[in-house]
Amino acid sequence: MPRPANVSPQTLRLLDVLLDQPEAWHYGYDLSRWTGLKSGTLYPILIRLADQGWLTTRWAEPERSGRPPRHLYRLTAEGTRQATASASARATHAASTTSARATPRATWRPSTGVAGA
Amino acid sequence: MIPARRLPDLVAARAARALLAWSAGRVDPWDRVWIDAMRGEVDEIGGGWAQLAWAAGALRLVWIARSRAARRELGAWPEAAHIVAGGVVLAVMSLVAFATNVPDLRQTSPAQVFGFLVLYVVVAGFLSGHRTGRVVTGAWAGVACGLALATVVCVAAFITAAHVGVGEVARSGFVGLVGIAWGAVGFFVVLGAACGALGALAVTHGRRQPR
Repeated sequence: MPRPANVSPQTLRLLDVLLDQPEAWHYGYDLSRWTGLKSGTLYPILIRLADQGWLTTRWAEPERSGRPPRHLYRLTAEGTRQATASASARATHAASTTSARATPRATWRPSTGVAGA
Repeated sequence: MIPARRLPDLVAARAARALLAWSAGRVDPWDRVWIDAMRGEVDEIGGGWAQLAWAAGALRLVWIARSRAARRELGAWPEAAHIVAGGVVLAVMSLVAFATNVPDLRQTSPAQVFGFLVLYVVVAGFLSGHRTGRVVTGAWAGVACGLALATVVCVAAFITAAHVGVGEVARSGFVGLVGIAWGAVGFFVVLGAACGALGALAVTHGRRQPR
């Protein structure tokens, strides 16, 4: 039986962060900080999500001269739909199984999401 | 003048950039985009050690990219594996022919036998190249077939030696016999690689010709 796509805790953490501002473009380093994922874990997930069409990417001009351009990431419509469905399913599952227990949710604060750029 | 206290940090920052540049050179252009993306972020990270930790992630990307490339390469092998299997069958048949003298190889001229072998590896390379579109795969198929044939030659030589007798072989020089066997392996590997590549080159070159 094939394993369902994008269900690892790391991927779900990343999708949660991206879903919080689905219209905004995000830098890789910001995503790493917000999710707590190391670059060696984060980028393979980004590659896989982009390959599956869940994520769109673009290059941004460097803010200061002499610096390399930066890569930006944003959920596609399909990615947003799938991530929302996944989050809803998890929320339903969590509500039905751990209704008695309060589960602390990891909090994060986006600082430099490039909204609508 | 750089304070000595900051020197390790600067070295780590320099190492991070070197590692990212090295990693970018180890993957194909499609995967290089992602390492370039990591390079774009490294200046945003404060501290040389943190930059080095970030750059270390590129090694995982290189590993993943190369594993994927290797799997793609291996994906081409099942096609060539049929040719290799054919080579093994031919080697077994040749061994039987050597052992039973059917057909009588002593009455067949060496030129005819050699021509048949060369034709076989060229055809093996041609078929592999035709299936995979890769000259390298054709060359590998040729090498595999060459090794199969070399095995036959070596086994036949040792069977002959066993008939003559171990004592006789010892007198005539067992080391010499092993040398001949290694020589046969080298000869057939080179012959297989050359003829297999030639066969594959013929078909891939033919495909590139404008119609």
